[in-house]
Amino acid sequence: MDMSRYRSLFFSEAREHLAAMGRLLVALEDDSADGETLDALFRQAHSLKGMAASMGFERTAELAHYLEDLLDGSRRGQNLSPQAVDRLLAGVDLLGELVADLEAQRPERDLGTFLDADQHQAAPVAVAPVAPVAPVAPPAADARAAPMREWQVELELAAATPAPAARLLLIYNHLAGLGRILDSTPGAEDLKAGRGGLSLQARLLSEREGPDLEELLRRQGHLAALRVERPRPRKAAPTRPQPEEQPRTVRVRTELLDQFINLAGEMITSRHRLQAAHRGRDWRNLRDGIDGMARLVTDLHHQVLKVRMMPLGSVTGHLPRLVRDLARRNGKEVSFAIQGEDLELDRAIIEKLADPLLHMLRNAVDHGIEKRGRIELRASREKDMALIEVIDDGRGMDPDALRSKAVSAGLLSEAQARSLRDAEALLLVCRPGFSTAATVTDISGRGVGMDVVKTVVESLGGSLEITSRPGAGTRLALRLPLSVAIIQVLLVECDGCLLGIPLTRVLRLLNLTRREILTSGRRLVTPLDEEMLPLLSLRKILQRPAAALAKTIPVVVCEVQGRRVGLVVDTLCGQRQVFVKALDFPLNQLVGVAGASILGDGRLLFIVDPQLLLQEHHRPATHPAGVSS
Amino acid sequence: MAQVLIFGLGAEWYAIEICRVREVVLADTLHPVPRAPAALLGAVNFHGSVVPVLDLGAWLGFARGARDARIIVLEGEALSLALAVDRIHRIFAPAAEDFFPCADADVATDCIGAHFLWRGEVVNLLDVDRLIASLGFLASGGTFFREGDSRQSHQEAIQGGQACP
Repeated sequence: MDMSRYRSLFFSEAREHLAAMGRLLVALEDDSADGETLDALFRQAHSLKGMAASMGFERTAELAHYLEDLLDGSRRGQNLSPQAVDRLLAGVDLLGELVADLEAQRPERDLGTFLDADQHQAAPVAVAPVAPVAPVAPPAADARAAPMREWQVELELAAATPAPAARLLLIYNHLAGLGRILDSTPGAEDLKAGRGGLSLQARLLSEREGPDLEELLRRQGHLAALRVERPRPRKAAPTRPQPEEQPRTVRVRTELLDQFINLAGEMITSRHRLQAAHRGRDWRNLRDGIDGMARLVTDLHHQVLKVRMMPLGSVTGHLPRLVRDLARRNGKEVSFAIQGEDLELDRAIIEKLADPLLHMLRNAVDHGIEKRGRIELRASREKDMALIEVIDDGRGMDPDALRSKAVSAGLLSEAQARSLRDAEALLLVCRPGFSTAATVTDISGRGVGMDVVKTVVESLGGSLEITSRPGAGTRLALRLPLSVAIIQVLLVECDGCLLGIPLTRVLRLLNLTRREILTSGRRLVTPLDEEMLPLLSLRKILQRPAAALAKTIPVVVCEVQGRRVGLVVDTLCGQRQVFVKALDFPLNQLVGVAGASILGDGRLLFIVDPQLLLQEHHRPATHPAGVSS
Repeated sequence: MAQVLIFGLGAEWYAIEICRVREVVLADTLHPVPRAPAALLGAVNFHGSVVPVLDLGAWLGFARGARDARIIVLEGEALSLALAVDRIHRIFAPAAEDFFPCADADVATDCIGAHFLWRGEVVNLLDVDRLIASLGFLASGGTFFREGDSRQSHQEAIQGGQACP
């Protein structure tokens, strides 16, 4: 039987169960008497156990079963202590690592340490233990960082060794300190019980080199024989594809598939009708047929986009847990709520949101909330954009403090800082390096990772807005398109090349006369809203020959890294909605060219991202680039 | 040996394996590509996808001459590239004995995988993977498609290659 199909299904479902368990556990901590949540948790663990067992993933099934038992114990009435929740969360983490092991085609890791921790703690988990259980350090944390290799270790003690069983146990513990023991003969239990002869065989996962291991073991002394080598490939040849090569799967609602089939059927009918009309030169039927086909294509397009949509909940599942852990680490009390998790966005957008959400929440916990407070994540529709807000009721940010910090860090001149509106001053925290440039004051310390948030959001064609008042909390609002494939672009022409600039990048359009263009040093500028807007020639950026300036000069005002710049183009050609195709190699190597679209007349339209175009080409401090006049 | 498509660049004959060719199409309209170098003539709308057209002659350092109106669209996943060449000739199946050895240095230089004799003339079999890699190599240097010294070495390599048999 081809198990690979079931494998990918198992992994996608296991991840959902794990995320749900994390969320439910945190909810349970808030209201530990909530029987429904407890039941739901129990069901999750139970399903995971069943799935793992039927796939033959023994340790995963064993751990799921163990957690199920713990939960079952708690179902009998006692409240869960935070420590008990810690224990359960650690178990869920370990479960996640087992699943990760399986997905990477590694053997499942050992459960011994985790299960042993329970033995030291005689009291049932449901009752608050006397001493807090140290959360089991996830043994996999280092596995991801360093390249771990598997070693086969075989050793034999000299026949005259005194107390060979104890010696073997010492060596076993020493081995465990050098990496992770996957299995051993005799097993750990036997060794602890004093059973076992003179020899030990173990499979060890370690980042150390074989000779190192050998040397370290030899120092233990009393060895008659020692061999450390890479294990021979096991008989099951690795014919299965590597995890990264496994096709990514999507689960699609069956109604959607039905609609696809219906649409495809209708299109086939429609095609026959068109062919018949064409043969019979029946122009009326031909025209109607084309209209019908156009409607079907639009419908189909709409449905296909729906398949790409995913609920926000698919990346927010672990956030309650994250906020809880952050708050506990900082000794703060934070209540966290999510609203609008069923808002659907394109999967490409959803996938990129995970990082920004994390940074925003971390900032809110670390810097926003003082001792105790509330954080909310709200998602909603705002026209054809998605609005995602992170709101806290913490200490807030002071625009004036940010202004003066920007000046003292040399990012802005006094005058520039004064000219910023409050909303713009708050956005200063998104300048790369803003918070690391100097000691961060309590009130302004929000910058870590905010540059990432802004960059990601903008690369998706969205925007970031910050509102805050000292003492009254902070609200970060992301506005994102619901779908990446179809966007509004401004069409411009440059040296015979038609280009599209995403409308989300355009602040405004100007038509300047030559008199309005001034020189400042080697740069050309124009006064705009009491500041000097630098003008850059799109031709120059694209390395095209300069053109003679016309009577009026069309300028597209864009924001690049928090500053406005004016792009001088040849002609403005209106705006339109386009379907953006991602580019393949080698065109995807062109920095600043974000995609392309095919217009109705078959012409190609390249979509450029001014931010990237300019980042690459225009570094204001070193290479002033101006419009050649 | 599998079939190859023989085409001309300057005074030389080149060939590409048929399995690397998706289609040979007329390229009537080329659309300019922003930020592209001179050797990238433009892009075409090929069955609804955007395919850039590389002037193979220019990329390998030949002087620009007449160009065949047809282009060779390459086969490849996550790759879209078409080659414009001076003249597209015919499909041919060289026999093993048509191939002749060649100094390693020549084979190692750019984009020629092997040589074979056809009607008494030398044909350079294009190493498509190396050609594609040469595009990527420049990208990693941050100067993708920028005029540079590599062009010169292409030229020298090819002249060196001519002296091969």
